[in-house]
Order: sequence, then C-alpha cells, then structure tokens
Amino acid sequence: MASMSGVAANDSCVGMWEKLKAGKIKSCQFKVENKEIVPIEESVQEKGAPDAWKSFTQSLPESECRYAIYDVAIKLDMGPGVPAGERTKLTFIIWSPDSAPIRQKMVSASSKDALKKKFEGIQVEWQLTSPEDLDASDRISDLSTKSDIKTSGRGILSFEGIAA
Amino acid sequence: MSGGMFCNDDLGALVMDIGSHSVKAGFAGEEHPKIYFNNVNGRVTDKETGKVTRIFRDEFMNIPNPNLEIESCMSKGSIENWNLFEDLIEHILTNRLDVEPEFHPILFTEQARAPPAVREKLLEIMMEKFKIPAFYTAKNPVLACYANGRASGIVLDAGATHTTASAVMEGYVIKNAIIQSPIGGDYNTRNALQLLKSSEEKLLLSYEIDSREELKPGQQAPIFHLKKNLPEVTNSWRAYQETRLAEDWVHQIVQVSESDYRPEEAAMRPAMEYEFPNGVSVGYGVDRFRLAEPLFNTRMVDNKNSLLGVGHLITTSLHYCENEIRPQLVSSVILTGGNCNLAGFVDRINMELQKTPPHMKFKIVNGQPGAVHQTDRRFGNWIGGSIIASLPSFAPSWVSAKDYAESGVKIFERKCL
Repeated sequence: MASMSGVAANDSCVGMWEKLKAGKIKSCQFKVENKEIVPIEESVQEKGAPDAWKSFTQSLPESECRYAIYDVAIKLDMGPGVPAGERTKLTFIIWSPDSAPIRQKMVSASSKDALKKKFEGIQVEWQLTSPEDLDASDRISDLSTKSDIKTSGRGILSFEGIAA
Repeated sequence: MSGGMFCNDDLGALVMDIGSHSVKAGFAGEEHPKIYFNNVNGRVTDKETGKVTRIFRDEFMNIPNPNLEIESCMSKGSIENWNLFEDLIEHILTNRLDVEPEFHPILFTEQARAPPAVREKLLEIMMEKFKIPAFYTAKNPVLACYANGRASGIVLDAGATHTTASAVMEGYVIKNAIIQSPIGGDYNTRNALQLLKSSEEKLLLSYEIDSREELKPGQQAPIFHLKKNLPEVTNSWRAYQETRLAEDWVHQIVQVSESDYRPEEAAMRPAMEYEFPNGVSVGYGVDRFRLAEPLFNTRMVDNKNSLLGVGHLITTSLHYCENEIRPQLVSSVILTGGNCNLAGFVDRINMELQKTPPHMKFKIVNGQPGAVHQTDRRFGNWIGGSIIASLPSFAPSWVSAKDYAESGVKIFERKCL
C-alpha cells in the first residue's frame, strides 16, 4: 500500500534527492498536487547560497504544508587545539504549520511515507509545526540528542553557519 | 446530498464514530458530523401484546412512560448487543441521514485495542445486511495523529469508558504501547451523581417540575410546583435522566485542579453555583476540584496502586516504545476525546508532563486553544475519518463488496491494516 491517503510520489522527487546527495543542491521543497507529491522547482536552493537556512525557513509558507529535503551543515567542537569537525546531515523535513487547514495536515501526514520511502539514506527527520521549531537554537538542541553527534564531539559549535 | 467543503470526485462516503457515550455520523468531506446523539435507545413493550418497539429519537426518550426502558448496544466500550447495533445503524442511515446504504461506502472509526473479531463482524453485517458498496475501519489514534499533521505521536484519548494513551509510529499503532485506565467520563458522571444524591433533598428532575415562580426581592428559597399524576417510570429511564443531569453538572461545575489537589487549598477558592431544575441553586467548593482528581491521581481511589493517572499513561506508553523513536513521540502529544473538554484538563496534563525527566521534553500539539478547537476534540476522530474518506486518492484503499465476495473477512490481511 502506497500510503493511507493513496497519494503517490512523482518519480521526479527521487531526482531531486539524488542531486542533494551528490551535493549539487542545498535544499528543495515538495508539495501535494492532484494525488501526487511533486518537487517545487523554484524552491531549489543552490549549494553555497548565503544565509541558506534563513532564506529556506522564510520561504516556507505560513499556513500550508510542505515536505523538504535539506543538506544540513554543522560544526562540532572536537576539543582544544583541534579544528572543528564538519558534518553534514541529509535531512527530511515535514512542514505542517498549526495554522494549515486540517485537511491539508491530514493529507500531508498520511502521504509522508510515500515520499520518504523513495529517499534512501535519510539521516535526520524533522516534523516541524511552528516558527519556533525553525529557530537554529531549537534545531541545534534536537541534533545534540542524536547519538552519533553526542559521541563524536563535545557539542555543536555552529549550525548552518549560525553560532550555537 | 450536500456537497461538502472539500469534495472532488464525490463517492458519497459516510463516516461513523460509534462510541459508548455518543454516536457521531455524517458525510465524508464535511467539517462536522451531521448527527451527534447519546448512544442509548428506548425500548417500549406493549403490556397487552408484548410487542417491543425501539425508539432512538431524543424527543420521545424524554417523555415519562411506564413502559419505556433505556438501553444501549454498547457496554464497557465495546458492542455487546449486535441486534441492537443493527437497529442503530438502520436508524442512522434511514431516519437521520436519509440515505440508501447500497450507494454509500462507510468508514468506521475503531478503538486502538478493538479485537479483529469485532471488525470482522462489522464488515459482515454491513455487507450482508446493508449491502454497502465499500467498507473501511481506521484506528482512532491514527486518525487523531493525521488530523494534527503528524504521522507519529502519542495520542491521549480521554473517552467515556476509558482513558487511553497509544503510541503511533508512521501511521501504525504500536500494539504493546497501548495503555488504558478505566477512569473516564462515565466514572466522573457516576461520582457526580452520587454526590448529588447524597444531599438531604431528593434529587428532582426536570420532568417532575410543573412550574417555577419568579423570585421576589428579598426572597431566599425559590418556590416551585411538582407535576401531579406522573406515571410510574422504569428504573433504567430514571437512571438515564439522572445521568444526563449529572453530566450537565460536571460540564458546568467541575474544574480540574492545576496542580495536585489539596483539600485545604481547594477550600480557599470561590464556590460555584449550580441551578437545579427546581430553581434551587447550590454552591460547590471543594467538590468542584476533588471530583476529577482521580483521573490524574489514582491513589485517591485505588489503594492497590494498579491504576495509572493521565500523566503516567502517557509516560508508560512511551516507555514501551523503542529508544530511537521516543524523541519523535514526546514532541507530538495529541489530545482527543470528550473528556479533554473538562475545564483545566489541558493545563493539568501540561503540569503532569513537566514532572518527567528534563530530557523528555513533552509537547502537546493541540494544547493551545485555537490550534484544534475544543469542540473538535470531541469530534477529533470523526473529522480525521471524514477527511481520509473524502480523498480521491483514498479510493483504492476501501474494502469493496467485490473484495468481500472474493475473500470474506480474510480481506483484512491485505486491507485496513
């Protein structure tokens, strides 16, 4: 069964995911359109764009659901005298703001699996619902609980170039 | 049929949430159930012929009648009397919704713990007796999660017969993380009734009151007149009327204490007056706060320590889930069920969840007013079903009459998982 809602993910979604994995793009958003999840071409952020996280979060609609993939870059404190450790996390984001219509939230939640299954190698998954969830500090405290980050350094120095 | 606010390819599907307290039913795609009524019915036995008639309309059920008994097809949260249940469905379809079942797929909501035998029986009845074209059952906690935009979360369903916490992961209920307590809305109502009956005055119901006189200035006690020549009523009928009164009392008077209930503190707070059908007002102070406390603090009623309060239901459910998925669940606590509408209920859960270790940052998704409106919590499961069943893309998920003809109840091995 595809998903409870029966919504399927268009094949072009996988293309975007492959580009993200290959480091060709920084992020991309997706939405449900006519029983199908499709990438939003104009939402694609190129690698190396300045203030990527800020412009990404600003481009998320206030009361509409989206899915997104994002190549998160963080720097870890590796101890005194040792250069910061750079890590990236291939992240799958479900943006379902509280103010979105219930029907849209329902479709978004029940169709998520159809998209997620197509993305091999997701490292982090976030269900985000409010502007506070998009704060760098909130994301940092979430990432800090991940076991590989806990064990490989002494905490996060920066997230997407934003100091912790 | 009304178009509904979201319909595209309209299948005319119906959604039914049959709970032990109330029945919610209506058309898929609509925002609210078209019909909502207490899940009880009247049974009139003709003294001479012995002929039994069942009535479902409130307006007939409230008339005192010596031959009228009140009954329900449900007991302790599950369907006990299937014949009665069939009558109820028949009544909903023909008298309330005015539809021909052959043309309408029906989605039923189902409790997290409902045994497979129940849905098999339900499928059989709907297909064989009502000849519906398609059928589906969806689990309540999953619907509540989806309706709040989550595929995963911990759902607290505060219902009439039970309060249940269940963990949902990626749209599936984690079976061994369903934690239940038999303290729910009915329990509160029973205790309220006991309290109301313990007063020295006899509890008078509105059917017994003929008229009330207007209070004159300076006059203390209201003057009222009792109806004369009332027929002798059955015990079940009187009990039903008393329960309705107690429910109204709970709704208006009961306040969940924001922190652990202490009689001394509660006594300091202003009393609240309730006006009885005869016009007499009585103030309630400590009782207001004491009544709902067992929901949270079960030690008040259970010295064996075998029951869990609401906060513990949630944390225990979480403990039965694997470590890796816990962070995702704690940030999505979802409330549903009519008992959540008790004054102060949500604030108290927030307080209880703060008692947990700091690394568990519980967050109630629909805890703020406005996120999902209060009335929506009572209809939360129904609304979830309404949306799902109205999605054009959902069509292939239905168990069709053809599926049933081919595989019988075995179809559930492939559908409605």
